[in-house]
Amino acid sequence: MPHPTPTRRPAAPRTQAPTAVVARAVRRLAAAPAAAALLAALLAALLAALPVAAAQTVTLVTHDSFTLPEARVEAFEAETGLDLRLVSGGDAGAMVNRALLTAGRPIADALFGIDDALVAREGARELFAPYAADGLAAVPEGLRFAGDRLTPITVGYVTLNYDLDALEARDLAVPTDLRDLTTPAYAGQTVVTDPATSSPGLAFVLTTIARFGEGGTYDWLDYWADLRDADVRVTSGWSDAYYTAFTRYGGDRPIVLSYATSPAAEVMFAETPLDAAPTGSLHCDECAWRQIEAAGVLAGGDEDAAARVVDFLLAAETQAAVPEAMFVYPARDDVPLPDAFAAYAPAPPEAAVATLDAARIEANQARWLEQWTQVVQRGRAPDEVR
Amino acid sequence: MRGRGALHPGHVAAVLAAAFLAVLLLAPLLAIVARGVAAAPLAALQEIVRDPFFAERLGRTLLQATLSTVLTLAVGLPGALAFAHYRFPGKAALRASFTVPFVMPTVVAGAGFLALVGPGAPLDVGAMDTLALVLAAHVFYNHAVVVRMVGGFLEAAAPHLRDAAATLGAGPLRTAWRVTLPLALPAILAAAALVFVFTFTSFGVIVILAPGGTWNTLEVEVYRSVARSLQLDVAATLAVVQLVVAMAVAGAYTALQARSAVPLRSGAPLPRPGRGGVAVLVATLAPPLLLTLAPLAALAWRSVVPPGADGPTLLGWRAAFAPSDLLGVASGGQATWTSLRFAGVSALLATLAGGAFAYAVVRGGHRWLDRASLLPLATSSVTLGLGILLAWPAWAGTFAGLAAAHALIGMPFVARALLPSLRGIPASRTAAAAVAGAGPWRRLLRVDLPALRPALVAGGGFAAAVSLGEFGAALVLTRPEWATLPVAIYQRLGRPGAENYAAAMAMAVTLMVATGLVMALLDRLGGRGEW
Repeated sequence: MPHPTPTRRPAAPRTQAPTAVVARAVRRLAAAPAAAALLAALLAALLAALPVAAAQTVTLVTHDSFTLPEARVEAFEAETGLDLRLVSGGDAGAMVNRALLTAGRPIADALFGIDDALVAREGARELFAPYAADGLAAVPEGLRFAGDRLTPITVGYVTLNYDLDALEARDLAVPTDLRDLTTPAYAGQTVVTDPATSSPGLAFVLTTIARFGEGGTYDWLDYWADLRDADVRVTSGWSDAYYTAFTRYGGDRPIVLSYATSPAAEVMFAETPLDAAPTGSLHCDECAWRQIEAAGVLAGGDEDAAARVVDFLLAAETQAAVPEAMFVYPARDDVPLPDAFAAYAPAPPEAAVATLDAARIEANQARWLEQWTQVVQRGRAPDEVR
Repeated sequence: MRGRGALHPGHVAAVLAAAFLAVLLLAPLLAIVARGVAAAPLAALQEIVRDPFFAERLGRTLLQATLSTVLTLAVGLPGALAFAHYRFPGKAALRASFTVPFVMPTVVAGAGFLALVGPGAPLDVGAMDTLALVLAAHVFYNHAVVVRMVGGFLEAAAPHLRDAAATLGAGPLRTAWRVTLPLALPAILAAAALVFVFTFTSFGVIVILAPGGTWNTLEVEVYRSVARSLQLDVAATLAVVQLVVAMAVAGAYTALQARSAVPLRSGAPLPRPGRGGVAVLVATLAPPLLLTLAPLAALAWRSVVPPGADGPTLLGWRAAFAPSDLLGVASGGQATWTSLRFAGVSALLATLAGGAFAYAVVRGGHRWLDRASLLPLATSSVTLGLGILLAWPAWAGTFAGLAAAHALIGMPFVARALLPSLRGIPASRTAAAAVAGAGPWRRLLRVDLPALRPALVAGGGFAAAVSLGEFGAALVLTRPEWATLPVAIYQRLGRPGAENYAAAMAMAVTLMVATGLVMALLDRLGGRGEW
């Protein structure tokens, strides 16, 4: 590193010719901006590497677990002449929050991934313009949870999963009821997710409200107080629960909150071919929550183009791709399921599915979450928070 | 006199820096506060502030951040001193590897940690949910900040003074204590301010290693209140409290840092260690190295031996790098390329922004920008993310928005790295240049920039690391085709099954290697060791 040479020559005398003064000034001024211009050019080159859309663009905002075969998206673009621009809005809860904050001047034209619990947030229903999608007739009546505002696209079942080997190693039977988890034998065996920050967590809280009711001699808050005392672990999101706390992936909890389809995924993505699923899911009475994820046309966006996107998500070809892409069931009842789903992840029977009235969820959800936080996170007694 | 005019680069830099903060930070924050206050009467806000629960959270967060900072300095400083004293084979690789934890997605590094000390692990010490585990993870993540900032600063500056001390008969320990450490004080304080603000606003480490809630930071509480039901009043209030407290503490560091700057001159090349030196090197570098490598080694192991596997398998690596026909599941190759491109853009933007801050503070005399440069790290990302959406909805899902967010988070690192070095440029040098007729622009280019090269590289390196890591993820909306490695890792970890898990671990290893290579390359560009 040489010592900096101040200038090539001493300060010019004032008697210098005007042209020389100008030339020197230009040189001096140019030196700094030249560097800036160089950087700007470099930046522009990097930015220019981005594709520029020529066709009309339609934007679909989804949660960050959204997946579809690229071939389906290409087919949509070829059919409609629209360019489909996908935006990830964070997890489902964060995405709905973002949509709520930008109501009226939406960040996208269509939205996918709002479920029957999230739509209970104040103002969520009003985000969407009414629309009846092509193919809606193939969607069972019981799945249409938001009238004409939302179109059901996928159906998942949130339920507890268990690691068969780990239960056996600990001399524990497969639980057969939610109450089992609060008994001393199962203390310290369960991990669930935070209902404030994760949609399966919220689904599970709703399950317990449906199963144990509110205000009886032993209601859902009593159940959660017992679970808390049985050392239940509550993680922030599904990945933390499944991939750090669950015994199958090196954790210490053999019972984890997940989906009815997770055992099928364990088979399909095993490192060596398996003839039986290493995990199972709980199908006892009222211990699963049907999580219906829907798509809708955001009011104030390009509503015509958004309608094409909703049609596309409900089209039979797209619906047939849904199980293997997102590990959920299609909302249409007229598309075939992959073999692994039929073998290892049958949809839970109706009796296993807990339900609550949508209006009741809407009216009480905020209070329920506050009560849950007080009991489980802050150690209060159920009576103190009722 | 020249240089007092409106075009003085110090003032131009100040205008740019102020505009940067106003657009990216103040406008979004004000938008959220306005919404939050409109949503709830002031009485509700007072209730939040007076709630003993939040007061307790604040107290615990302060305690945790203070301990984290002290411990990180304790682990990082010996290593930094060793780097500053000696030249030895493998030094560049070692320095680069220390930065790797800094960029690891918390869920992945958390898994590595739990694989070692979590429940049922080989070193199960019942540490889940304990302060000790949180502190260990914070040291793991942040000691690179100390090693790079302090080590880099000293290496560029210290040898001649140390040689002088040695000539006068001082032993190595005495030299370190009486000469090197005081000399390094500005850089130590700069690093401490960053570590404090970082751990005070810690999020991922807390939710993964202490899910019980006892050590929830205000940041975690903001996240929960927003995620639960978009309680903007709570979010705005907690975010402001967090900002004020973090800035008050960080302000003390920056004030001390400004006061303790010493003019420095570059010295002779570093010596190779003698026999005693080797012992010192091993003693100082082994603990941080172990702390860094152990959780990372656990991840690498799992990428080839996923749970349930009978023996080593390349399944995860194959799955990670096979071309993906699923939108929303990026392949490792694609994600690596995206990560590198974004890191380049982010480092460039953050360096320009951070450079403007440091230059405006030191050469323009705009002292307030010193403290203000820490604002992006002290601000709740959850709140800021919503604010950006409210203030600048048109940026949602655009590349400009993403780049701006990365520049915002990377800027403080560049500014913190540049400030001590810029203050350390001897006034005589600048004065000599001025006397010789160099205007302020020319002095910037010919005197300041060359002398700042190591600091620019150190800061720019962190800005690149910020972009390689998951920082700023909460700030903006992204697009599936922009999946960087951390995003691709989360995509796999969002899907059940051993193959997805192993693929995520394989991509985590890829991220480690990519980060190490980028850091090593930058160190080379910085010309370390030539000074």
